[in-house]
Amino acid sequence: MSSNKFPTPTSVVGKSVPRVDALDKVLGRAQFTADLQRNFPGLFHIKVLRSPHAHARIVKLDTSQAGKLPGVRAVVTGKDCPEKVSFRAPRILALEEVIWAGEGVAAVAAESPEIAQEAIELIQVEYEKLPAVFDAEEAMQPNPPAIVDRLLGQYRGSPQFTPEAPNVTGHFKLRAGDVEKGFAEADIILENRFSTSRISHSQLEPASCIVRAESDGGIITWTNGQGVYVIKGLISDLFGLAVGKVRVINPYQGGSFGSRLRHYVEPLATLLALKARGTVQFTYSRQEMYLAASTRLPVVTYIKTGAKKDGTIVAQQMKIIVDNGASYAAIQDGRMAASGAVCVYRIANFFMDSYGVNTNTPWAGAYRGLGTPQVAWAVECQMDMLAENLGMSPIELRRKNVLRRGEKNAYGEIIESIGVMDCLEKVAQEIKLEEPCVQEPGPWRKGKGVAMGGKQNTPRGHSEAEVLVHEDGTVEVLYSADEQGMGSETVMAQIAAEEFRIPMGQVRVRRGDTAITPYDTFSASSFTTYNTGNALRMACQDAMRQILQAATQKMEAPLDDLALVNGKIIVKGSPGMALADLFEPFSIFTPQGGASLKKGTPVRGRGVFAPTPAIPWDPQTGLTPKMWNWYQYNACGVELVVNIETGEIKILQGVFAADMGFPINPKMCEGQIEGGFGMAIGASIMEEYIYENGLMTNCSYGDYRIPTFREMPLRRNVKAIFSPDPLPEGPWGAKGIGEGTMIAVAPAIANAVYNAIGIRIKDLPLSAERVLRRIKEKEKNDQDFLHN
Amino acid sequence: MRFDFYEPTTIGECIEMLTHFGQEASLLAGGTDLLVKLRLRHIRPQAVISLGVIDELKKLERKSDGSLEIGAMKTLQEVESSNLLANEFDLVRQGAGCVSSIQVRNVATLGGNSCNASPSADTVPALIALGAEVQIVGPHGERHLVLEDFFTGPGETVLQKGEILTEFKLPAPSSHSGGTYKKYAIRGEVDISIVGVATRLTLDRNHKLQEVRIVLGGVAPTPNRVRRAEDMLVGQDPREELFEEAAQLAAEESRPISDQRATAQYRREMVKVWTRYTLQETFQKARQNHHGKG
Repeated sequence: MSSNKFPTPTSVVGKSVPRVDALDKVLGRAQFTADLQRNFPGLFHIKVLRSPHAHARIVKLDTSQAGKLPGVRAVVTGKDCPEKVSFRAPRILALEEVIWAGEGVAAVAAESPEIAQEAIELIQVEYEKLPAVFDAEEAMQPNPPAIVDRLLGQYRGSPQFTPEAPNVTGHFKLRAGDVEKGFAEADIILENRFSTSRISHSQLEPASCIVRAESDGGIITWTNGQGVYVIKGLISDLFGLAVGKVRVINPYQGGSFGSRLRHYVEPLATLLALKARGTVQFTYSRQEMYLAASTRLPVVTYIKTGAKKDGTIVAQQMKIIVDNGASYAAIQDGRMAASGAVCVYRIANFFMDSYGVNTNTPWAGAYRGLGTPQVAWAVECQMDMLAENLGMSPIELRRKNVLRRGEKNAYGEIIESIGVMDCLEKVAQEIKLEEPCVQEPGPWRKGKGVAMGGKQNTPRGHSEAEVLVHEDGTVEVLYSADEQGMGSETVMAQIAAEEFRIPMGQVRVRRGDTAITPYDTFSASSFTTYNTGNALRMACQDAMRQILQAATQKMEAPLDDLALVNGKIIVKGSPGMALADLFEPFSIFTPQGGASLKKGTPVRGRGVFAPTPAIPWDPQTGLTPKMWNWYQYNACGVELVVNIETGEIKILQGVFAADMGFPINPKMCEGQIEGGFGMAIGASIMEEYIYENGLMTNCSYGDYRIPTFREMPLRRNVKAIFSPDPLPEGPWGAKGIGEGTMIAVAPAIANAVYNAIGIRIKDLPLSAERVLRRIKEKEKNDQDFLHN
Repeated sequence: MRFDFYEPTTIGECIEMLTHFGQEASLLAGGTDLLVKLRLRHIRPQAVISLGVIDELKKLERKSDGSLEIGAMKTLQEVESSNLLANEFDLVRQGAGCVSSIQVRNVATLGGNSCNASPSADTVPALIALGAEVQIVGPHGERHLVLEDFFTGPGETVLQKGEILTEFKLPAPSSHSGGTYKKYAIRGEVDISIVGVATRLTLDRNHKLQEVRIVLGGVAPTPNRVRRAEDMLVGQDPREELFEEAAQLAAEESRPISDQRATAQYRREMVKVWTRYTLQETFQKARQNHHGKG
């Protein structure tokens, strides 16, 4: 696994050590936010009344009956909310208009969830329905059928906001090379439109927080939201609270996938805690997770590709429309999603427009890959279609056009680390892409397909970490990035164990408490290993320096001759001394100040890491030598069967290769791959929001089906392959893996479906119903079977 | 939400309570539908009357004439695993075994599955295919009708104020017959059916189709027989193309709606696919029984 660039042998990193949280989680002892409720007698419970209309004016809102119900402590409406709106959170409650079906209108804090629910049912609202727009392509037009909310664009102060296209939140342009000249040179030009559905993260643990109003006007929040310091900043800013009086604590989080990056429970809970002058808890129901939590951005991609007969892509034009839903917290201009089309192939003449658009649908945001899987869906289906048109193998076409290390992508960035082609070659070999499937009698048709992709890393914020080295050699690691299940606590423990050359059992991780652990942003963009990991290495080295400095006097040896290994100070050519002997016991006869180490006082090492910042791009061309930080890459191959009578798809085999840089914990990387693959099966063949007049009609696990074991191939038929191209500035060459593991799956499935039944489906999901409709269309020579 | 909870011990006592509360009462059998409706506030009854301790509703008996009586409060798990229901009545077991998960089947009841009157109830097509009658008891005595006539619309039945469904009566089936229920749902049995098809075929001495029942669930306001398809098959020599034709007729006779689980078009297409498969399988069973007994 390790590359020649990193010859240092390691003893803990790079090894599949057991997760540090495994025992607690398996035994049910790990504490999640909802588990803490029992610590608060007299806790108030929050319930929210939500709009059934996608767009309506609130004519009358009467909460008086609810307020009178015994057991109700506080009732709030939009009028009680702070005027300030943050782009880190949706509006707390609607004020004059509701802008999606599911937006909160009023909320109650009561002595029990049942009383709160009863109170909600006593609130009377009169709505006047307003025109609504659900389709992003309609919404982005000048004079759209509805303006989602006049305030959205203006509030955001987006420089690109124009009254002429009031639902467009932003527009990113890429103008590389000369696309017209490129198309003129092309032997073949292929144009297509692709789309993806709105889906839900469906993380196991719903959003939940507890907020306690303290007597001094401050608050303490326990929450499963991401980024304790970001929440601290958000809450103190929204409510004008003294920053020093806001404390945020983060127990384990039951999944996020980007959902918890926007904070949809903490602001309302704070409002009600302050009003109730007590402690409140707010936990979303599963239905609320669909209606009023983050969703994945639906994306429409138009793609036109020009290629030479030999497969060389000479021009590409794309229009990418990202549907933000009714979001204040939108991804403004689609630039992040669009990046999925830039980071894999060498396309000198590239003309691309991406747009962020608001619609009156549940708001959307980050979801594992932040739009790149949706755009890669288009690109990778297009590549297979192009290959077929050219009479080339899909592997050969990709080999011809893939970016290689040291080359420039269309932004103008030089790519330092890219293992994508290696990933694809391994996948194609493993799945035996060249060997045709053997068909069996019956309605099931077999097919194979592959795809690949990449995901940028945003150079965002900075990360801090601290270590406390105790006299007995044990080490506490303090950091504030998230643990949403991906294993950051284990990775951090491994890094500290490696640096101090101690066993894992001597490291204890303390995480996520703004009063104790140092600053970090949150775990996003797959950067925790890279950002926080780098900070932690610096913290370890800082502590080490302090210890060895103290040892130079005791041991009368120069600093360079000393090393700390597994609790022992080693001097070149001498047996050394125990770390504990460096710590002096308390005595009234010795000076207590000074530089020496004191018994009972750990050595505190501190590290700060900030990624190299991006370089502002030219707004007219999008060109810059540094748009992002680094890229993770992946490839996927699947073998599946399609039922030509029912349209059902069953995945028989999945092979997935990832370039995550150096894998700090290979087993956890495999876990990311298997989890991402399964999640992507859901996004590819099952998941979609179904609406009636903008109101989601399938908002339960019963009718919104996420994948289970039933949809996964057998364990022995899922294979994870590592194909790392280590990144020099990553810890031991590590990059990240969390987001990349979905990207290539959907197009690989669609390419396999094409291989199986000769039908190209360009819209996700490939539900049984959609697949069958296309089969019937083909059977009846485009005569629409809907008119049967 | 608050309601009073009652637990009568006899059918008579239960009817008295029901008559008293009328529309304001809900009956609790297994609770797997009722509790969801209460939680979602679809209903707000004043009284919930449990059938749980009325022993008269829990019988399961084979009569001397070969017919069978199943009490409304038999759980689906009891039905599915009952030896009395093996062989000729196996169709009932197939239907019961298709309802959701074993946890749900352990509490859900056969009577409840009918009284909930969901168009996609999995036990109903099988019971109708076997010619089940229901016994209804109310303040004015008891009455009987065929199960197909029990349903009047989604969630609606012929039950009048004070009446309860007490048992199912299944006539003795011919030995030269076979029956199959197939459920099609995106996620198999734990999911709600997009379509359910029960078929029953009886062969005459010459291996011609003597009696045919094709019952569809999930594709009309109530589970129902498709008589044109049935009639077309009666008296015929069973063969592949004929089943295909019958499946086509069944699809045409179905009256599905579009909802969050499937569009009407897809449902109709699935009626065709699964009626054909079900007929094929049923014919194989009937033929085997014919040979076995014949």
